[in-house]
Amino acid sequence: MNDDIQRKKATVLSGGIDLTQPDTVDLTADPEEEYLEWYRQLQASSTQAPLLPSDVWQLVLSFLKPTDLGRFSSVSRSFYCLTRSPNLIYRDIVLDTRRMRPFESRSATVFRGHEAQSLIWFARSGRDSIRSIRCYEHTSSEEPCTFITRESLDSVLRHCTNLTSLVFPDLPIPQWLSEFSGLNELEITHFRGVDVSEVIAPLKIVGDKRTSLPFEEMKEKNPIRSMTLMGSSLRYVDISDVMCYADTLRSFAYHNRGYDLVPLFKECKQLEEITVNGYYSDWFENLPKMEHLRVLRVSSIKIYEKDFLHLKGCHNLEELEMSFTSGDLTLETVVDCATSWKKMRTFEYFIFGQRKTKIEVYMNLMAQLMVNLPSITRFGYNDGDLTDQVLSVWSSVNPNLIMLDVLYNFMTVDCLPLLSAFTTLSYLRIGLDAEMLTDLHKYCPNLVKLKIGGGSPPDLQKLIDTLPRLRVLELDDLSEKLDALETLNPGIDIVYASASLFDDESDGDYSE
Amino acid sequence: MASESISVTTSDDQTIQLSRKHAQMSQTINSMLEDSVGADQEAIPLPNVSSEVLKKVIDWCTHHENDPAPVEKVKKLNKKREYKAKNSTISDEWDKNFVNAELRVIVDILLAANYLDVKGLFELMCKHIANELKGKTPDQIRERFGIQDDLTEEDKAAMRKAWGATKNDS
Repeated sequence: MNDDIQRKKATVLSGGIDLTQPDTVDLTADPEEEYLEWYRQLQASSTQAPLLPSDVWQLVLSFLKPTDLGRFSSVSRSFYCLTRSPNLIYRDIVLDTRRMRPFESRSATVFRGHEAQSLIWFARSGRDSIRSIRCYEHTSSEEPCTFITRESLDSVLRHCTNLTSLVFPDLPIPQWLSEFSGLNELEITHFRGVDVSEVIAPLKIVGDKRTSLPFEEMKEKNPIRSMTLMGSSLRYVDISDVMCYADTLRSFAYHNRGYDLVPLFKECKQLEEITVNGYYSDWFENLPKMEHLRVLRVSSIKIYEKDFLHLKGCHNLEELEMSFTSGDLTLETVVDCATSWKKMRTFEYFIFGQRKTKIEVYMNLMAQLMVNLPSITRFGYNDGDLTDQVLSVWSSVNPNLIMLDVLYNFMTVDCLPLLSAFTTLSYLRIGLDAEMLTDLHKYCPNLVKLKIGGGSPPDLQKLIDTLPRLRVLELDDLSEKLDALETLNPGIDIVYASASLFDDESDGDYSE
Repeated sequence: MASESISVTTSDDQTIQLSRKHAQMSQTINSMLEDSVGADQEAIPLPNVSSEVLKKVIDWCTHHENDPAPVEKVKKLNKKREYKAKNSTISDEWDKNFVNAELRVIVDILLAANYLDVKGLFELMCKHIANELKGKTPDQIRERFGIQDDLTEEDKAAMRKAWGATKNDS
């Protein structure tokens, strides 16, 4: 997307205020006192909110989600004051610069990067109440994150003294991070064009005469339970330093290549969640028996049969998400291993390789796979065309699927009606032609989230109109023409998405 | 033995008979009844509720008279200490028709439910007002609720400084 379109979109979404222009809002200033003075005056001069007493309004507002509250606060002075209630302040803020517009999820409010001011606003309101701030970067490395300045985030974080979770991509982590005594989640990424020593300050830096923070001392203050390492700056991190958190670390994510993680995994015996992206072979078989492992997400890794058989021993696996190139792994092995995962809730298996099994055998195995995974509610699969036979078996074995991801499969018209057997299906990723999409509402009327592959079909508005519960529509398309959809459908988040590392925990649970 | 019906006097000086069951759905009237045990059964004054609105409240109580008693929920943050908007879905078809009324009537019923402390009705009306607010721009909210925009340019500038979304929504 070129700069003009990006700016135009940002300006449209921020209501005519071009937040990418530095002279629009001075992020470097700390307007705290100025703001407080203005707010005191506003409170003093504000009259009683119309129609209802303030306490009744507060109860009404407790039914509103963040973006509606934001609009409400702009109605009048008294309404602005109403939204300052401690009961309406958010504890968890997500700043996701990869999204093209704000959207809400079960657990968080997500803002575009253009709205760094939003973060400041909420942080100023929440102060001690805010426990979590997560910032995600844009997926495209060609579009550096320019919206958030070090100063603006410093300004925010200074007020959030009770943070327990902090996720920073592309941004320098402030030196005073170690002052957060309760921090138990820390995600570290890289920062383009800035001295890397600032970025990974909380980790000891080796080999380049760079400054370091006292890792052991930080450990006393910050019993980190979750850590994500990503980006090229990792070459300055000594993985052995992470091991001092072996007793507390429960979740570890790694988005890079080159490190031998096996020693870390052997040390961190309590790990419950592992995420690994990037090519690193021959590590599964060297893993210790990870009895506590509940979640495993891997991608871009060549996986062999011996690796999978090793995973078979992880009886507590609840979530397995794999996107990989095949070594010698066969679907027979996958089906066999699935019998061991009695607690499995999420199974997403995307293989990018050549299938060697005959199609009839393969179809039977796909059906059997679901039989062996009776407890799952979220299922993703990409290797094999969907037939009515397979879908029939799936729906008869597990009609309670909440999420079905068949984006990369070909589905015939005959298969579409079989989706109606999944009565609780609320999240569907699917690649359908325009004609089939027109009929989708007949078979999946309760969809809350829909991702469509294969470009933009001709009548998305009609699709939205026929799915009354739809709240999120994801498109593999960055077409500027789709701006109109956002304007016409203020209650629906139109997400122009491609592959994303974003872990949307709210998938399949969009109940209000 | 307590009488099966209760007399109440509304703000427009009408005397209306309530069944005891319906009266007890209002914590306010219930408290008054408990306070007046053994006293002469005079009509209970309800100076903040008109007869028209009270009849609406009685209609709602009649429809919901067999509902289980509402459980007082202690609002707790979940383990992540997140704020979560309450569910505003109105699932009962009768209730959906009930709230299909003019805003003036809705507000009057809401205020009456608040005064009478009829929890289920109060929550229903709050949900309805919240649903009316959802997805609307500030201009639309002002128009729907007849609210004057008293935000000065200075206010808007200050809000923009704190949060850059004001113009978007107005």
